[in-house]
Amino acid sequence: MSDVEVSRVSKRYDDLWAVKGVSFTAPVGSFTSLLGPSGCGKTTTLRLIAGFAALDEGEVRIGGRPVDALPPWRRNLGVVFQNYALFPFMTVFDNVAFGLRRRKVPRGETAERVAEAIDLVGLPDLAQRYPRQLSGGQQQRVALARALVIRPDVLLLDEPLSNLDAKLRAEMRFELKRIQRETGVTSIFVTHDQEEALTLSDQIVVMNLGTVAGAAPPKAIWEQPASAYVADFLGVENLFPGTVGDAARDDGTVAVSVDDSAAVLHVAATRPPGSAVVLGIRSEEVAVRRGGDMGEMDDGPNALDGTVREFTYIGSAIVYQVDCPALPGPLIATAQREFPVGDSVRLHLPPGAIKLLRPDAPAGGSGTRP
Amino acid sequence: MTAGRAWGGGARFPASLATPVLLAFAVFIVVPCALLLVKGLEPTSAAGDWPDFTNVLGLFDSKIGQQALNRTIRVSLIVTVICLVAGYPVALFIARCAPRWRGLLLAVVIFPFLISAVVRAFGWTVLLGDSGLANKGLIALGLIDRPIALVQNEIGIIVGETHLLMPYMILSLLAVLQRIDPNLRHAAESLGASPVSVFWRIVIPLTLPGLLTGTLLVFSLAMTAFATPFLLGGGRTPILTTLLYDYAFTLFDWRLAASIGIVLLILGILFVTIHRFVSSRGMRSYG
Ligand SMILES: Nc1ncnc2c1ncn2[C@@H]1O[C@H](COP(=O)(O)OP(=O)(O)OP(=O)(O)O)[C@@H](O)[C@H]1O
Ligand SMILES: [Mg+2]
Repeated sequence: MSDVEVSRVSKRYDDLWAVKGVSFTAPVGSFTSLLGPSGCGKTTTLRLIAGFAALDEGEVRIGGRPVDALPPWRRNLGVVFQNYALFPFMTVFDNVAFGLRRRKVPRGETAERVAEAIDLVGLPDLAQRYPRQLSGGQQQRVALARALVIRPDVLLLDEPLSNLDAKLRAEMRFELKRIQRETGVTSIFVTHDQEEALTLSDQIVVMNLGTVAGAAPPKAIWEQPASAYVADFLGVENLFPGTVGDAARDDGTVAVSVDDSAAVLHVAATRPPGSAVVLGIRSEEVAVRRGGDMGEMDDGPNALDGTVREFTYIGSAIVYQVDCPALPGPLIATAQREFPVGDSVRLHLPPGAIKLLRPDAPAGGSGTRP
Repeated sequence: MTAGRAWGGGARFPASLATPVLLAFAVFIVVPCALLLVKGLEPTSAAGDWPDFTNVLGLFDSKIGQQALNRTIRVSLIVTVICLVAGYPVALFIARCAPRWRGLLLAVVIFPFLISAVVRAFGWTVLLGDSGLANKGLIALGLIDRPIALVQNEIGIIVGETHLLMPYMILSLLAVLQRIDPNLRHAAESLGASPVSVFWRIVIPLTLPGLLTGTLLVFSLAMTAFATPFLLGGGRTPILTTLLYDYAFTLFDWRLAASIGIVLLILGILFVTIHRFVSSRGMRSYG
């Protein structure tokens, strides 16, 4: 087992920085997710760690040792690919045994360890089948077994679940968690699915345009995203740029005026006056009531009037898109009650639920010229 | 296989379009073969019955016939091996090239197709002649003292046919090489396979289909080539096809010529059968 230190790593393809100055540390035995939209450089980062591509700047250390001079076949890493990349002309057994044979492990031990690995990933007895005779989920498990059987220092996974259907994906998520806990292998996991990242990780590294936009444990990143971009990617639906007002108030809140509008929202936070911020609130934290309803308590601050523009039913609740004349754009809110389109509603944004986020400086990664 | 169905119109639509060509092919296969058999197995004496194998078997009795047969097989095998061994690295290189270079290199490979075999053979005659570039080069390098015979013998035939057939091998290999998922190579590398190991254990098995197609093409084309061996081999190194030409147009012995045709046909069928057997075993795991 080893930790992985990625420091200021950059990779350029022609005139495009696929990855620019990426740094993070994956501690021994931890599960780190690289999370970000398509094309943000997640796969490239993984390829640089694995050694499939040469880095242009920076350094990767595995177990404290720089690996830049080591070719991939000397790095002792397990890699699981998005398309599994099983060897099509080899049986499941031969696929899993491949790494052991390259290491000249004796026959008897090879058979034992292959059986062990196949057992670990919960694969039924399919050792003599060829990959094309397996289901997607089974191929996925073979790929995992093949990567784990060599007892890698680090396990790298590139969107391993994205080719599975929703049910299998949820199941494999638990499996992956169990396998990682049982083996204790340091894992770096690439995904564009925030839910996967949140459920699996000890640490989430959010990437944007080839750079790291924020890195934190799931709970921290969920509750206090580092920036508006991170919040956006972690499903904070409502984001409005704003400016902190002059004086802090007695109740421990600050008044923040929403840019390009008349709205002033009270937020339970402290910021120096005049700071540029982004206000963020999740849809489920917005309370929705019928317009004109005098609720249980007095409206207090942060009450906004609006009309329902559109709604979608998601099973557990209804998601509303509400036009608020006081805000520069529509607000997304989740409620159990039904309101028809065109109904006037009253929204309440609790001061404690609003996050004040750092606006994003334009990033310098993918898509920028060197 | 399923191409017809994939279009949604059943197999009828492509079948109706394919019929004329397939029919023509069938006619052009069956009729000449029948004529060949009729002529080649014609009785040698007035009293004999039709399937008379005297000529075909007699071919192996004559020294020149036997030599031609052996040379045909030997040359075809050597050319196939050279094309494979020399063509594989070329195909590998082109497949790994950046796309913009790939097109250019492909054009270089295909270019010989644009020149007639006759013109090419004359080119080789000049290059390989006693005062040609090849001999001069070898002398300059100090490898030989005086010019050696490179044309009007088997070397000439092998050089000419290799040049003629190399593109078939390269294109066959390239077709499969370009389809290989680079992640398979990376997967093998991450599991501890060095590039040499990756080549033998991953790339070669994955290119087996192209390798088999290429060898089949090159061997059968080498065996049936005429202009190149005729012009570069000279009169003293006949192979089956040039011997056939001699019998037909110098001796006007059509019966003997046809019997050589039968031997070539048998060789072809034999090779295809062996090839199919090997492929079906080698490709079992490809499904
Ligand atoms: N081999 C390459 N040659 C040129 N450009 C590349 C290459 N590989 C990646 N890129 C570019 O680098 C950027 C980052 O690519 P990368 O594959 O790392 O993204 P990703 O985050 O994995 O995206 P996805 O979620 O779609 O897989 C992209 O703009 C991509 O076009
Ligand atoms: Mg990717």
